[in-house]
Amino acid sequence: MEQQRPLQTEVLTRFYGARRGVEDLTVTLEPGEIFGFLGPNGAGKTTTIRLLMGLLRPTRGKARIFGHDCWREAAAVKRYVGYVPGDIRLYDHLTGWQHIDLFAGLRGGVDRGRVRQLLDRFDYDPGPRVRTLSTGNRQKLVLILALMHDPPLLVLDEPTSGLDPVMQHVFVEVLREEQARGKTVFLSSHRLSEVDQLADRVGIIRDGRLLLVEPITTLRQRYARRMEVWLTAPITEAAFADLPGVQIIAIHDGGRHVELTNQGDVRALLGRLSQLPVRDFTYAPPDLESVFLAIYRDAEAAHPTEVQA
Amino acid sequence: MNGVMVRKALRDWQSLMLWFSLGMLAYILLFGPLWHPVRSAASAIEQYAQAFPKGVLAAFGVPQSPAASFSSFLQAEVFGFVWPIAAIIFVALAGSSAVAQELDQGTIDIWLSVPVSRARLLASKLVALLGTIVLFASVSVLGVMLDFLLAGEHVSATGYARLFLVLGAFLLAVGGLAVCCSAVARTRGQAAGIAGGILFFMYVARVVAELSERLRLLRLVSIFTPFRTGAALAGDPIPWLGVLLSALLGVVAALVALMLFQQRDLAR
Repeated sequence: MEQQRPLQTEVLTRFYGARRGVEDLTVTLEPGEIFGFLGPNGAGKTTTIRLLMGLLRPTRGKARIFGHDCWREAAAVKRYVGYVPGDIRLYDHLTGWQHIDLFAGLRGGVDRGRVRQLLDRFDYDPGPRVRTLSTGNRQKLVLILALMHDPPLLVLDEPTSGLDPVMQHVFVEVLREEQARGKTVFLSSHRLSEVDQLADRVGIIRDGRLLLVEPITTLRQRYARRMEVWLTAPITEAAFADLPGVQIIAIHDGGRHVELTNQGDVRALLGRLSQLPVRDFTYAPPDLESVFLAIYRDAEAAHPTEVQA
Repeated sequence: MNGVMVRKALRDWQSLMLWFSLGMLAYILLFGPLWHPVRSAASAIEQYAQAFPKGVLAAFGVPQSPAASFSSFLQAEVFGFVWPIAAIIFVALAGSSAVAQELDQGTIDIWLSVPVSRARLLASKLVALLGTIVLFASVSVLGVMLDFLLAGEHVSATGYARLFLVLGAFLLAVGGLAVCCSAVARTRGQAAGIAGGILFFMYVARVVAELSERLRLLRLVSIFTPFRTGAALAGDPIPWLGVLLSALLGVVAALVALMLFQQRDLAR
């Protein structure tokens, strides 16, 4: 069944001359999962996606989509994929309808009912020429083009850049529905909140190398959660000094307001708070942003960013 | 080949096709009504032409006796210089846009997101280009036919067919070269520049070959050498092998373009 994996890369590597695009990227997507691919600009996300779409030839390694080699069988691969490029460029002189007709014609077998459904969903008017459209409307058109043939795999590179918050919400809903219908999604983004809401697993890439691939729940548990405590009487750092995993970030208001992070057992921390003159406290949920930043800080400390020729 | 892609390419080029074809037709039609005054002053024009250095006549494709017949007159006024330049601009603009414009405008990602091989997508554009070439050559021949009517002269149907073949082979060569350059270039301007450079070299090679006995072999590397429209119309001998080789150059260049594009790494 290995052949039927929606997406699989093995030591996928691409150099641009001496400059690394991505190196030794090995990842497998399971059917029906949303895989968040995170990294800052220039980390190698778009290079990875362009390798998957058969636009770039790998320097070494392989990428397969439903068993088809992404470079050698690029046309076959596209049968299974709905693709949203990171840099949205369309044919300015064509209207939205003309784009839909063109790509439906090139793909074949596109259900007009589904197209109308998507037009309604994204509240998009396909009448005007693309040159007159806002960035958000261009983005909507590209999303419709990627979804209209009902592909089993979506490869999305920054799919919501340019969309307003309402449309971002619609996009999240649509993606969840697609997942419920068994679709697999490779979602590249630097919008952590979006990945946080949607992804089952996350891969984090830095300087072209995959730092980790983990289920998002595991990832959240691995990293410290932030707490703020307000007290009726001042305390000092010593109040938490013996609790493993607790780190004081700052003490304000003469010791009446404490910011800390906890990576240890929450019961020990709550026990300690019960012994202190606590007026109120907040305990933030583990958010991907702090996880991501922590991973990046750790990686940066271990291997400072390499300057490449 | 993909019908949807062919239609898209034809639609993209329709205004280019329309304006170049109409413009060329109008230009060609200028010369039919001029023939009678020119014929009545034939000897003076002959003398005038003889006064020019051979190099200048060769450079502008003017025959030694430009007023000897209406075919020679058209060769001198239309097909010697203006038609090839317009045809090169028209076909090179269309051909060079085939791939390089998609890269230039950043539409290559979306264009190649469909389950059709790159070679088939480009082959579809080549078919559309062939259509524009046939149209441009046909309109040019139609213009010449109307000119002969206006001038009160006569040419056999074979003459027109021979003219169509000479024009078509020339356009095929230009189109093939332009698409080949487009398949390797990063921008449309670069593609048109490379194609233009090659064609300019061919043009100079033909002129030099006509001027220098020592460098006569240069005529073999030029698609301008077999471009003898006056002879085609008049039924005079034409280097048919050269015409065939021009057409073949276009076909081979197009096939090379398909191979190169199929394997091209599209790094930005």
